[in-house]
Amino acid sequence: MRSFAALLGFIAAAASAAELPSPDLTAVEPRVRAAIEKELASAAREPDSPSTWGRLAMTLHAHQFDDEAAAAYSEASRLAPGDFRWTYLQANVEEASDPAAAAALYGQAVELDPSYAPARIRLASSLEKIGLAADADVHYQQAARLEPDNAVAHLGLGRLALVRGDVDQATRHLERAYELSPETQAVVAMLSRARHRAGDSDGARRLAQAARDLPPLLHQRDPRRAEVDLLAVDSESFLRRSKTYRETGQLQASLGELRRLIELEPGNAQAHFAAAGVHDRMNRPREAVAAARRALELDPDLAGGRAVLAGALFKLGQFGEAAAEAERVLAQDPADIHMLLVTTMLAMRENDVARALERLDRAAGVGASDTRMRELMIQLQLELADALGGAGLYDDAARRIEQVVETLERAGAGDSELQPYRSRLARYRERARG
Amino acid sequence: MILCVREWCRRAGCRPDPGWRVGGGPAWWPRLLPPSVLMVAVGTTVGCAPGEGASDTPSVPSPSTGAEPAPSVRFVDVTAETGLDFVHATGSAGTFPMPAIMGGGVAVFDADGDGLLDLYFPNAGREIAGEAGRNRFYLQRPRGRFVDATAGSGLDNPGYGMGAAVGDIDNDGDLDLYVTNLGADVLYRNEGGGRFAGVTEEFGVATSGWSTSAVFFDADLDGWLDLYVAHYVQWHEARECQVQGGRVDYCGPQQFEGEADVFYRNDGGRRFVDRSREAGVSLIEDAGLGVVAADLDADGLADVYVANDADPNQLWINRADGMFEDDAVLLGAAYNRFGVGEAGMGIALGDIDGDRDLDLFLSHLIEETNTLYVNLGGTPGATDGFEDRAAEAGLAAPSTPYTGFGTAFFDADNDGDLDLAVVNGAVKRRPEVLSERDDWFWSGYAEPNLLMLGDGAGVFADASGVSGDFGTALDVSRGLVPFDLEGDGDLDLLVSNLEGSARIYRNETIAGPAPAAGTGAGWVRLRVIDPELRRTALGASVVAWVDGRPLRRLVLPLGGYLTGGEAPLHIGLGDATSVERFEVTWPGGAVEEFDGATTGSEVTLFRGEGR
Repeated sequence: MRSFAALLGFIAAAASAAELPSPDLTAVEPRVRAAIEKELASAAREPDSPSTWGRLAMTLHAHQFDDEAAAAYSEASRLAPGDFRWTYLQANVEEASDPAAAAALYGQAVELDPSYAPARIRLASSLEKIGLAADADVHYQQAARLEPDNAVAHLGLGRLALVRGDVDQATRHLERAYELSPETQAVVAMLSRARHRAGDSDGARRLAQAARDLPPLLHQRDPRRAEVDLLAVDSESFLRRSKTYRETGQLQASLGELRRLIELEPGNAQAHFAAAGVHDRMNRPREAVAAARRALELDPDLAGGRAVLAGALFKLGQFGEAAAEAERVLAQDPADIHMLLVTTMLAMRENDVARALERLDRAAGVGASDTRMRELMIQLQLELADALGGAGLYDDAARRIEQVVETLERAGAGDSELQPYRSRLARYRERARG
Repeated sequence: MILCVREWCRRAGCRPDPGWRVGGGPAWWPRLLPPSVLMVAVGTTVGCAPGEGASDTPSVPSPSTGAEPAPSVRFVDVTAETGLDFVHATGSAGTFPMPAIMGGGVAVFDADGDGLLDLYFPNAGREIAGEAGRNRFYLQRPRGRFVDATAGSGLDNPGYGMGAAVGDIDNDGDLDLYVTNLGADVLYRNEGGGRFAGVTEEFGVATSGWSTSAVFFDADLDGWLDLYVAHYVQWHEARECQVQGGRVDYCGPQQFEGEADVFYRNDGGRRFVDRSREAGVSLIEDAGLGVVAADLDADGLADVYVANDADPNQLWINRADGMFEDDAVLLGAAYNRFGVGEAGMGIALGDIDGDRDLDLFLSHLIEETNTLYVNLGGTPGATDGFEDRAAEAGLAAPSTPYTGFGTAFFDADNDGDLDLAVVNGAVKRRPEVLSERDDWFWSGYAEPNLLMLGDGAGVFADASGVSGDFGTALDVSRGLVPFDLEGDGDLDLLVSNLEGSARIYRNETIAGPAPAAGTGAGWVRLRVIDPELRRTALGASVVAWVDGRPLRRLVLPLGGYLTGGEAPLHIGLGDATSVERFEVTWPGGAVEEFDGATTGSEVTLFRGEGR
């Protein structure tokens, strides 16, 4: 009798258990195939274990096998209906392709765990995508209540207020988001819109200009989702994680991802190149030079590789080599603004004023592509103006300041920002006349 | 399989229960169930009906479905009947060179002056794809028949073709052609009779790099058409890109540096002068794809809007002094509603909500929502900018499963409201293959098209599933042009496909060739001419007053994605029997009023002949 009951139980379980997903692994990296096959085998061994199905789902999710991941999450949820994680992560899978489905799943997830702010925010943004702004607003508010310092929640509230035409409230929330996350394109661009709508065109223009050069995404802390991302073992994922860490200022973690990738793939030129960039940001020119050299050994045509090397060599004080690398870049691309400025600095170092002026004029003609380059160009213009003015070459000094004013005007600078330079320009002109 | 069912259901007009996986198996709710029923259903899947439980979480209401369910429209594939046999070929199946997945534009214009619209298709070039990759030129003969007229036309440029722009560069009364390439572009001057002469060097437009869309417009109101050419990225053939666990596929734009666009000023119809630097457009090196030129801040000058791929879009505001200033961020047209730059592909432009200002629509990548930038109005020259209202308009959710390219606002059913078509085709192999063609490499990239019917107030209903062949064909589509093929008073659709046949879909929504008054499908066709310039008054704006309602339409080159051309304006009248009057705002701001016209008329408005 007992064995019959067991048999019935087995039949019932077999009838309700989901089939194992069968992702097409024929063209994927061997590391990825191995990771997925390991989890598939675990799920086959333990078909009643929600955590095993969940782990399989997360591994599939991490490698963008979305349909298979969704099916596995669904099975994990069926086996453990009270576990917030699987519903939440299944909603993550649906979020990009089907916001309506994602909204419903997020709705269920926040019922299972009302205190997890990232779920509220994702629910709100899914609702926004399907045109339910008022409902989205409620969830952004609840997220802001749970985490008062959550910039994403304030950005959402500000954005929705702006859509409603409530510019004051929008500005309040967006100012708060800006306080919390001043280096994010989405926040700065939206605050620029609010200022424009409020009639502050100078302030709006300055922010709009700044937004262009900032990293685009506002990364929110989402430990549940981060667990998935960390499971990805393909090379692109290491690079992506490294980039995310770099953009959020976590340079050591960024480097850690690249080191793991280099351990697995010592010949990956992109990894060495990215490492050079991170070392450069960490002000470690020696390491940056070594990494850039390795990247170029592996791929001599690597876009941007030689420019990073030239910049790092300059910082390291190896000026001759820096100049040679910079000239090689400029031979390929005469309008490379970074290299034009590096060669300007090299010329100034050698007191070759004519060459410095020629390079700086070329750089001004190309125009600065981002804030960092613009600031460097302005600094060099001012230093040269000082030198020229000190030598009594007031016309030439005035020309430098004119270029500073033009550059700032193009960047949308307001009158107060321009005033000191205009005064200085007037002084040089006066001295030139007198 | 999961998505197959979802896709089937989308076509069939039903809506998935988002909680079906939690419930253990698919369940489907018919689309027409009232929202309250859907709410209960969603709640039931987790055992918590609305009102139960202690949660402070509001129930998740049913998503917006846009306007009321769409009435049927019908587009039938008549390509074979028309004699059009163009097949785009890149010869690149399985090798993944990025340009192969981006090309495939088309130009539609009257090349030989017979009043019928002719076709030009850029192709991947003889060097790459052999004879199969030749650019082709088709002249239209009466009754909508096309004949291949490439031989002897002078238009057989062997370069790696992308798109084309059309305009009268020398104001001699015929339309000239600019072909964008990966590599040097080509300018052809129309010599009459369907023959063209290459004048690239003579006119100084030997641009290299990777050009995509281009547009002719009169930036400085001197009467000569200037030219803006969008550029994409600095592509390197050696770069290999991976997706989904390391599988090789086409690279995205992030893998390369962007390329600055080019602005040419027309110097008296004799040559073009590169003014990119002076105008400010060379300052930004982004991955440009779609481009339109129109007066977007209502100051009487044409501005330029560029859709960038994975970069913020540009809105180059014309400052009247030869300079353009990118105000896209300031004016809310750079990013989507979440402040994120998306993969901008094609652009449609029109007044979708009847408030007489211009709204912008952009097609985007799979898993992004297409973007509708609604114009917030303001005072001339001091616009309040734009706001992404794609979700509210019902245009966001239907677009997320597909990658959109060519797009256009047009009146599909002649009811006077602008509708929207978007043609789709993936740039990376889809997670789920929709096409059943087993032996076709491109099956993994083929997608169906979207047809959205507008209500005239800014809300759209998805009519793709009931739009006939247009909504069911599975191609890798790029270019889209609405035009009245047979002159029967409704707009047909030309679609250029990558690695496949171009298709013509005849509009069979309206029965009979010339609808009589009261059928709900009246129309007039308009040409708007500046006789002094001997050409169409590009940049003019026409308001047709119909039953006291102003229908604003723009006189612009055809555009969207890699698409160019010129066609008469088509205005649907719905139940009205006539247009009461036309109001034309000419480039520069002068306004004239003209007598109206009855349904079924073809009217030409000449500058200076109004009131």
